[in-house]
Amino acid sequence: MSLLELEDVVKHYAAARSGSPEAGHPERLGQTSELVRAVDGISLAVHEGEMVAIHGPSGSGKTTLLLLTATLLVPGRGSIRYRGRSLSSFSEADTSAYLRHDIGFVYQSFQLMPGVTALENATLKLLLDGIGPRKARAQARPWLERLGMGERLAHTSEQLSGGERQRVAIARALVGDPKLILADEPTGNLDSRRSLQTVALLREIAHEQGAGVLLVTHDREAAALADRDYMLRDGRLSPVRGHDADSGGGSDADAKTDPDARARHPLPVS
Amino acid sequence: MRLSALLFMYRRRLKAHHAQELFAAIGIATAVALVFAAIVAEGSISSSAGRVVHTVIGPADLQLRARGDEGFYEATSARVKQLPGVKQAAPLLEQPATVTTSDGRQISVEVAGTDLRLAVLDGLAETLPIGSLSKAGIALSQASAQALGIRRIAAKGADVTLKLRGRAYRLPVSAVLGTEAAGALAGARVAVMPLSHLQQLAGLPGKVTRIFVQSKPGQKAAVRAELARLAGGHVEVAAADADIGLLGQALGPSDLASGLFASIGAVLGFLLAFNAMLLTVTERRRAIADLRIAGARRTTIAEMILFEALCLGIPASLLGLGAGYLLSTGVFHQSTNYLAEAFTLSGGTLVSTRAVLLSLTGGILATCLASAVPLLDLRRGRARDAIYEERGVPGSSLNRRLRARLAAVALVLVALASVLWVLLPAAAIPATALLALATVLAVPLVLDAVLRGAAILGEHFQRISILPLALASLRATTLRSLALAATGAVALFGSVALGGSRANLLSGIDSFAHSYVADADIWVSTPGDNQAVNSFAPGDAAARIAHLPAVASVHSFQGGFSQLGSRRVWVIARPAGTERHVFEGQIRDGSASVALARLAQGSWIAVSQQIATEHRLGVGGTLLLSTPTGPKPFRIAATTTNLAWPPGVIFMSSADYSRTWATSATTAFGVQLRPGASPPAARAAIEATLGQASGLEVSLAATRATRIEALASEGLGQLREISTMLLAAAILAMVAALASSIWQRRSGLAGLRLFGATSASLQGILLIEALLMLSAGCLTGALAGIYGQVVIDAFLRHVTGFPLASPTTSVRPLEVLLLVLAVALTLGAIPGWLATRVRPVLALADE
Repeated sequence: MSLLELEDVVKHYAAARSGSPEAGHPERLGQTSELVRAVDGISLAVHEGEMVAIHGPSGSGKTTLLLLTATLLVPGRGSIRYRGRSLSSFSEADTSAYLRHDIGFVYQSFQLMPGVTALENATLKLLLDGIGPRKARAQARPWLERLGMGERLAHTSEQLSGGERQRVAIARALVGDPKLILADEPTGNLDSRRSLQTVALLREIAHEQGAGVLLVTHDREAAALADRDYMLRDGRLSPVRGHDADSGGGSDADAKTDPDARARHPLPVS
Repeated sequence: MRLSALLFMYRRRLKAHHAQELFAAIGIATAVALVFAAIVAEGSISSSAGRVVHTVIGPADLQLRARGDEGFYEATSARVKQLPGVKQAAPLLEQPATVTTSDGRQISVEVAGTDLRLAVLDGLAETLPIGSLSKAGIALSQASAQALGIRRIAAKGADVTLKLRGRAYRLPVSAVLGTEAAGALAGARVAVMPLSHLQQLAGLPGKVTRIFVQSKPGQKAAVRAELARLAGGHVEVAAADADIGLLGQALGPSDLASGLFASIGAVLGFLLAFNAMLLTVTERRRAIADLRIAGARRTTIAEMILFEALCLGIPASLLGLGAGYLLSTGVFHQSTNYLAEAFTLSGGTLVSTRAVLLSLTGGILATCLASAVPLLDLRRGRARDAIYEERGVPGSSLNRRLRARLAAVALVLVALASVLWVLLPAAAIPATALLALATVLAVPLVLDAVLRGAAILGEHFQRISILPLALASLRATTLRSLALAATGAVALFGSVALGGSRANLLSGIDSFAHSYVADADIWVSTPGDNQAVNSFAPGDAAARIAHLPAVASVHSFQGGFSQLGSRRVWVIARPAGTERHVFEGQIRDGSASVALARLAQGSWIAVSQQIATEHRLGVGGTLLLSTPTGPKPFRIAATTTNLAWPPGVIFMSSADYSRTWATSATTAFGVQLRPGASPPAARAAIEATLGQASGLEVSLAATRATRIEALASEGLGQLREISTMLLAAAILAMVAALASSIWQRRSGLAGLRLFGATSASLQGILLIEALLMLSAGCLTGALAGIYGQVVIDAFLRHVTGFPLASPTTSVRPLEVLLLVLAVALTLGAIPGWLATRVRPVLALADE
């Protein structure tokens, strides 16, 4: 059984007549008159212990796909299952527990709490889960250190650079050992070396801890580190690497990983 | 900037931040309503009383006024008319009485006996129906009829019982006098009868209490001199409208107290409005930074900010005026009963232009001032994007240095206030305003300390895992948190300071009321005469009561109101041995036992401290009293409080009173019961002895004390109104601020939901945030309020002369704190619940 399965998932947005709609930010839309197919019949599976990358141009629906997977958006059609259970059957409590325990989401915009230190930011999910602050800090600290933030633990988010903020966001996603990591452009603010290191870390987590990683990026080089790689354009998914030549309109539930690609980037982290 | 551009920008702001603007408007409107209602409540009595007096006197400019309620001879009127320079003169007899309907409704009225001679004054009588001045009935003012439940159409033919000077009479109602007949008098509790009829019923044949005189042009001084010669020191010569001055003096102390409360209420109201606007500062600062980054000029931004402040401030202040008016007319009724025994008053609420202008401009000014705070970012040398470098939410920070500076300024203000009230107790208004301002300035430091304390607690109690999240949010939104905390601080400051002082006053009155009645077990007086100032012919009533088996002794008490300079003072005359308790707790200077001995000795009096101070006299000094037998010197045995009668009080022995007032009339019997006798049974026996024709009322001491307390407290009604309004406004302002603050937190809450926060945990976070913010504010306010109460108490004791309980260790501030917190948090839970249902994607949309 796959960790995550998407089957013929469709998400349309009503878009403003003037100006281009941004698929990843539906709340920004104003007056509506036409439909934008942000995600258009996507089928995809992510297994435990593998990293799947999706790359594509801006506005292609990458973020929407992740938000759908995180229950933050509801698909117009199709089903999304986590460990065989449809996300649409989740109660509010199930959804909250899913977001806290099962997934680790690296948001493109970081979503760090202002005025709060890197270490405190990384403990967020644990605190929400009822874990005491001392224990939460003890759990979060190693992740930040592993991401090269050991010297910046006590700095507030405003005192950190874009790249540092991004690493705090990644650390926060990884704290608590989630089963599924959803990463939205996790390397967007990092230099190329740090980007590759970070993606390598995500892959390492996938392989060592058996977590599934769904990585969304516009960085082809980063995507190449994944076990499988897809191209998303106009809401439709097409396989690039690491699976059968033709997955039939984006369906690749049985796709295989590409060990060569991983071997090409055995970079240590930090 | 063009008006259209300004309008466009404001429309954009409204669209994006409509909830924020709405809550700010509610905060400002609430504050303006408080200010307006407080000012209106303060000024209504004296204005309406002036209209009543002018209605009665018409063109008269002088008067002869009796020094006791038994009056002087009506024949004087004929002699007055013959004086050179007198154009017209009209006599009037006034008697306090009660009117009772057949269904048991009873009111106290001032009965005026007059005749057609009053018509020559071109004043009141010109419009009075002739019937009411000629037939043997009684005409009631509209206010009296309404209070008795007598409808105007059905009035003729209705019978009422008039209890006058100890006798009861059944009389037909001859007319109900509306404004068309009686002018402003229609709104006062009065009744009109033919002079001769009233003289007969009162047992005062040929007597009047006033003669109004109209002098010929340019002859007033000469006429006054002639009148003084005619009066010979036995009758008062005064300006025709002297009652206005006397009332003004009577109202003076309570006016001062009300003025103080209203002023403090106004200051607090403006601070609340300022705080309501402060909630929007963070977002405005960001807007300013964005505009500056986009290249906008400083003046353009200043114009925009001012325009937006006016767009918010003007409608919100107008809304506040409307709400304040409804509050002052509908909810809070102005009671004047406590003065009714000495003055003829009309009810009603009068709205002055001053009240409107002060409230409106104050509200708009507070809005503009608070809106101007973000303009500090425009100062030269400051980077355009400086707020984005601040810790926490951009535009929300308050750095440590500024916090320390504000605290230092607060300390200076407290020191200034302390010096001010120690040196000048009368300067309580500025001192309290300084304290209120200091309270607001101290809030940042206190909030910081509370947050630090909470963080330490959080480390000890690891199970409260959401506490760090609440603390993080509070630190990130400092200005917003401060605005809310400051609102709580102002609310508690006002409620504790004003409410506490009022409680001390009431406690003092309670103590006086009980000691005042403690010299007898049962009291017999004219109905509703709590001060024992309405005289009646005692006849053999005292002897009949004394024969009852339960009765040990009966003493006759005397007293009344007397003019002393500009004061209508309350004279209390008691026989020796029956005034032991009345001094308890009321002596300001001197000894109670020495004073009692001297009063018994004769020619000694005890007077209110204010009277002694006004005449620059101390214990042992001599005061000249104007009595019906002429001016008489008395030595001062002690000074006292004013027993809650604002103009002051004079104690003397019955013997002195009978001699100098030349009267044997009694104002009350004090009945001592035998040990073991049942007071209710004794009261019933006394009532039976007096019979149905008696116009006297028999009361237990406890009942009388309760009535005195209630009546005296009415004088402080405005204080109650202002305190209640302040508390209500404070809670409303806090709820509005809390709701606004929570609404602005929605994006942050959505951010937490992205990571799986449940509604319950979000509600927990909001509750902790609100609790910490409000606790910090309320605690600061409560502590400062206790100090404020000391300042106000000193003012009230010094200026009003009221009996005031000493400040004691009270749980009241804690009660108010818990009440305000509980109500604000309960009401704030509604927007809290709504906000926690926010969709997580809102956090992504707000980026």
